[in-house]
Amino acid sequence: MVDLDWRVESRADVSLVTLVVDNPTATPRRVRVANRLDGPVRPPRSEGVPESGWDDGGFEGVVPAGGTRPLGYASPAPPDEPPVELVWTERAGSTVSADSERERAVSEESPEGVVRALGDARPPADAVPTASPDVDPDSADTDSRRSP
Amino acid sequence: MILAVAGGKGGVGKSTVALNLGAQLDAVVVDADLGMADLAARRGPDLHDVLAGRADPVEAVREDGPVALLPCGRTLAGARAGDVTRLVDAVESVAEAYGTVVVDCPAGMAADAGMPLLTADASVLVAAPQAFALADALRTRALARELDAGLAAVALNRTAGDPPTGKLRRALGAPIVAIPDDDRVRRAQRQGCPVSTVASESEPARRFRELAAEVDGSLSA
Repeated sequence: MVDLDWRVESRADVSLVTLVVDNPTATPRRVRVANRLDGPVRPPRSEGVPESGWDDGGFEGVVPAGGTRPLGYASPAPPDEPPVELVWTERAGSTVSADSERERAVSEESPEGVVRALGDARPPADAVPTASPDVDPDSADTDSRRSP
Repeated sequence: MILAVAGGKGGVGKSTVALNLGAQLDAVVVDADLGMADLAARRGPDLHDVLAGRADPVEAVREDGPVALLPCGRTLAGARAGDVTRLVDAVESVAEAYGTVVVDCPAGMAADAGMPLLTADASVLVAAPQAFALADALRTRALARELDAGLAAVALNRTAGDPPTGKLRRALGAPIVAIPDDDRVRRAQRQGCPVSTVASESEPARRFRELAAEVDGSLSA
């Protein structure tokens, strides 16, 4: 059956959870791994959006037949043991073959999938001029005196 | 119906085609060029406010111009503050309220260009008649196909003389409509007007009608 190997360490009040989901069976299996720590899940992100499969409660995804799936997340909660549990596993459908995925630039047709695949287009924070309240009062004063 | 006007390359006239096509299809034009909006707007909520969750997309649509428009802000701070993933719901809300929406896509191949293609039912590619502009058109077409916004037509913009439409048709696999270079189109665009309002019987106006008919035809087929 599917096996879950976990490790949790704490750094600067953040728990870092490292997982390996192992599927020794001959069929691909869809698994759900749920967070048991007393805090929100901080999933890995690409271009600012959570990686595919992650939600508020944990991760859901397919582990290939005879393969493993490494996972990891953080949580601003004290470390606890075990930090995660394998909630359920089921046989994964074989509709998504590796072949049909190969040539696709956007692997998941959702707004988040598009951002992950194509990249965040927003101007960098450093390029955005910030309002500087320390400089403005003077000029605002001048303006108010000038206006009738 | 949601139509994305895309094209990869900047400066090929996506906004011009979007505005003129919007007029022909009696649609709301959404200026989704989040970093470099260029469809004229007055005061009031814009797409930056919508994407930042500060305004309702349907309420941000202006109906006072020659073409109904959901304008976009022009500040970097606004472009930074918005969440581009909200674009899908925003465009769909406008389509639900108004029927037809034409989305003016930004240049490039980043998420802000992909998002309109994700929500669109079909796409119109705008390409310049130069060979080097074709590579961008091909890349955008591939992305549009992948996101199920099949290519309805290609607008070959600002052509002169006899453009190679037959060759392009074979290369891109969609109807090609050549829009001749005409100063009246530019002058109308500066006023935020489609060319049909200033010269309804001009050649460009006729070609935009043809482009709209191609889009209608491909969607009903």
